[in-house]
Amino acid sequence: MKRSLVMLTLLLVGGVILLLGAVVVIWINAQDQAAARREAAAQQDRTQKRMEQFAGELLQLSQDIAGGLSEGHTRRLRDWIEQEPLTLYRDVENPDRVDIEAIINALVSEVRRRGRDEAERIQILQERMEAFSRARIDAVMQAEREEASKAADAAASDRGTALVVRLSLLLIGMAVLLVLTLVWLVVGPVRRLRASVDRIAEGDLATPVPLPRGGAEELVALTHDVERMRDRIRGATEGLEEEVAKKTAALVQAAKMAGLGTLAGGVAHEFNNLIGGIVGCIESARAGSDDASVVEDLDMAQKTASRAAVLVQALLDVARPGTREMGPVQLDAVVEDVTRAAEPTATRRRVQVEREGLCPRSVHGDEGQLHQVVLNLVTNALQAVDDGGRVVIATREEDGHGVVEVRDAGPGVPEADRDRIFEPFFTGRDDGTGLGLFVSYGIVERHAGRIEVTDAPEGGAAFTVSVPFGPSAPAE
Amino acid sequence: MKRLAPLLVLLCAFHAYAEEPKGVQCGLFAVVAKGDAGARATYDGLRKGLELAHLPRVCMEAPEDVHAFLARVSAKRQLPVFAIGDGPAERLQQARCPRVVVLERYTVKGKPVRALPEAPGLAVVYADLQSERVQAVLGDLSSDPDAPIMEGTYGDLDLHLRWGRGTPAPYVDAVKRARSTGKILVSDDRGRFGQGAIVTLVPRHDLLGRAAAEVARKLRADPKAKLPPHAIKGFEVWVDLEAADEQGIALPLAFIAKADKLKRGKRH
Repeated sequence: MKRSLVMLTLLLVGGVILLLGAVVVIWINAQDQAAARREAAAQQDRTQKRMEQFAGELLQLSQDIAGGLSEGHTRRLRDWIEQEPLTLYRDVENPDRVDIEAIINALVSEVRRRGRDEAERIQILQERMEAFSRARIDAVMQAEREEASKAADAAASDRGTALVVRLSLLLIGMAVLLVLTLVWLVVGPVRRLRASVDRIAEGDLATPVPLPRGGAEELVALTHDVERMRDRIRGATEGLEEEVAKKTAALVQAAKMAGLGTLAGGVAHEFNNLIGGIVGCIESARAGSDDASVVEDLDMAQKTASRAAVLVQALLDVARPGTREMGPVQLDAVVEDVTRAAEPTATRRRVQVEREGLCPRSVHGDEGQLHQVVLNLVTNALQAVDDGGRVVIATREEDGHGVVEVRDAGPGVPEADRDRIFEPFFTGRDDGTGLGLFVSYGIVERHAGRIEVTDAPEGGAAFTVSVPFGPSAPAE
Repeated sequence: MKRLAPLLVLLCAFHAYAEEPKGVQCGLFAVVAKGDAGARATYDGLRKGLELAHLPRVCMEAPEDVHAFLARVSAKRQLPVFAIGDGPAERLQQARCPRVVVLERYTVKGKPVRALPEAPGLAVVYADLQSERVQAVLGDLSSDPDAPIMEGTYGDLDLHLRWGRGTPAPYVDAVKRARSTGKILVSDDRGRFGQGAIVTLVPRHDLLGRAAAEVARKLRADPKAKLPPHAIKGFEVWVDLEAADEQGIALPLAFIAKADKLKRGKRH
């Protein structure tokens, strides 16, 4: 819709410009025609003036010639009459008398001779007059041709100038239209897009990139790309933060657990020696005593010492895991053994143990230790659920790891306890030692795996153990 | 016709200086300047005038011994003697017998630039070439009509005139100079009309000759008569249109209309 509106606006603007151009062209043509008419009228005036001038010159020349001829003729006859010694003309019969007839004959002869000369002169003047007229007519015609040529050149020049002006106006209009279009379609959206990119670069990933109103199709696509990039950066940033938090927590947990393990190992080693001495003393005292009550107390003391020894051994196992037999371990097989071992307890308490999924691929690890981990988790689950409850043991492959998940329908692990649940001696039960999950954590860590607790769909806790496949060597 | 022109010139020259035909009864004699076409034309006018007056026929004479010649004609009463031109006039200056000299003189305000001879028994007839009239005629051609006429120039015109005592430069040189400068050459030598000068001022030689004949008639009627100098005013204007066309000079048609004689040009 917006694009159609843009096109319609462009068409309207272009149409207005063309209409204005047509009006200007018509106006200029009308001006040209009026100028041409004026020039033609001026040319006619000039031609008429030239012809009038030429006619005037001819008239004046004719008058001058006529005057010259008349003046010369008169002068010559007057000179003859005035200066001719008429007394020379003597009568043949009487030389004392002037011969009038002879004078008349001489005058007639003079006039006749002058007339012949006059005719010759007139003919020459006529030829000169014709030549002069031809020359003047040629000059006038040449002037006319030159003026017509100049007028044609000037008109052509004017037309060329007008054409240049019109083309320039048209080009300027088109350039303005193009610039406006570019500003509208490109520059504005690019500026807004740049502002959005700047915001993203400054870390503002929350503000969405506004889509351009109208604009080129490529620019719209680019805006969409930038918006997708913003989403991806935001998603990656958020996942990264979460991952960093997880890794940091895991590192803190690992460091804490390692410290606790070292401490517990050291304490357990000393206590193991002490307990060995205590047990030895109890056995010696029991062997030397016949008092039944004493023997009973010593037996109780020995049991307690033995129990302490077990605890100490467990701590020692965390601190000094001892010899491990690393190799391919079928998690499904491990789960099967644990399920079979837990079956009596489950049956007694009518807890339904369900099996989900498969992990056909073997993980790399110590089968016995992994068996202990799974057994700890299943035991905890059986203890967490009420009688008649439900425990699910699932296996699967996930991101290069073999995964065992144990879920129960028990009360679950409170959010506040989840950071401490793998610490030693932390337990939610009265009869618990607080070492099961601690030991399991240590085993999984040594397998370069991961153990975590979440909420189970069944409502209780879900413990997930991930152990890597393949050749990656477990951490020592 | 062009090939015959030199031959005609030679024939004319031969005719001018040849002795009179045998059998002619010469009653009068005239000493005529050699090589002067004007003097020759004057002589023709004189002969015509004497004929009109029924006077004796005149014959040209070129005497080696002027005194012997004058003594002979005086003894035979073949008087007056005519001298046509300045050269013959000077030769007959000291004679005592009646004589008529025919001359040409430019005058300024009526006064001859070159003085007229005066002597007992001497009658003078001269062509009066008035400088004012010359200026009026040539003013139509000059760029500065009000300029004075000098010895060789008038405005932008080249003048080749026998103005004063000085002999003008050779005619051929004057023609070359005028053609190189594109100026109009004005001459007063009727014998050279058509040889380069565009305008030639020609005295009325025929009238001059007849006037000399009239003076002779009077002297023969009264040998003691003292006659004042007789001037024949006016001159003819001859125009060589061919020379003007060759020089690319367009003469005003009004000037051409006033000319007394025209030589047709080639431009038509």
